[in-house]
Amino acid sequence: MNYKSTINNIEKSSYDSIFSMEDCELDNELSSLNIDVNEKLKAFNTITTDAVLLSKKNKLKNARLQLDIQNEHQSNKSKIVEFLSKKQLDAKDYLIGLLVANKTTLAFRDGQDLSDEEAISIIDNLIELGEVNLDE
Amino acid sequence: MKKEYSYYTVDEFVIALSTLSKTDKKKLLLFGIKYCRDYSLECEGSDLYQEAVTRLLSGSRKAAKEVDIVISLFTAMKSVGNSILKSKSQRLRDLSTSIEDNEHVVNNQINNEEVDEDDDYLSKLKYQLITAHFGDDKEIMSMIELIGEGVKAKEITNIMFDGDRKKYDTTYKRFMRKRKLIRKEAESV
Repeated sequence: MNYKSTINNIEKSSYDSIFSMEDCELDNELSSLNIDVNEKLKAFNTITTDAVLLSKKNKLKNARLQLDIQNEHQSNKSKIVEFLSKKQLDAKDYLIGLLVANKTTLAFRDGQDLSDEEAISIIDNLIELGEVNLDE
Repeated sequence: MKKEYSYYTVDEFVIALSTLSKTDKKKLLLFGIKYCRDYSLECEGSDLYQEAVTRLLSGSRKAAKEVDIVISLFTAMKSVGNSILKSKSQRLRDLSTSIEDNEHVVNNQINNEEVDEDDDYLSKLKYQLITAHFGDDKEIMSMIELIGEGVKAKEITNIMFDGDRKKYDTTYKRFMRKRKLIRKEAESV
């Protein structure tokens, strides 16, 4: 026996008709199952409202997390700029110093010109990777 | 050619949910109740709805814009129910497999053949769950067999009842009525 097609046909016969039923037919069918329709519909609405609220809360939580990560990076970048100005270095010179000290490789550059902002971002990534510590 | 679908974002899905009418909700409610009773699931129809909505809102399942929102929710609820049954059938299967062939469990790799096998196993379990309640009723068993073969109501009437539609309706009602009682019987055991 092909159970898969057998079950498909049985489910089609049992459930498809529900979706073409009129409101009064649904009421009759539900009452014959001893279901308090109003009570169940109320529960359905609560489920929907709660699920939507939870989803909104999670969305907000994720947005806040992203913002925290962004703020953290921003604050790191400010620290880097402060550190570099104290040492009277520009970001590219500092990276070259790291290169000489074998703390990074040329792979970060790929032979292109580097803006200060990009150089600061690279230093920020190196701090995050634990390769560089400005407090040392 | 495969039809291309566009899918609701979570925000759009929330708006689509708010368009559900009272009648739509009754349809989903009735389906949920019937499904749980048919397969003796230890949960309520509204539990299937809750899990379906949660999956759709979390983005782990998507609803196509081209499909009626009620149908998307119905298929999501059915998928939740199938997952519950699948884990039930997997437990039974692992138990029988470990007795029959331990090696198979060790080498149990997921591939298309096994997914098909899983679907077949699930369908077999569903069939057993439905027929278990009618094993003593030969008339209903014959009707289930014909429905399972895809035979339409009119043909079933001719084959089983010499064209007597009233007899068909009475038997079909008996089939449906008995399924309504399945949950009660299961609860009383």
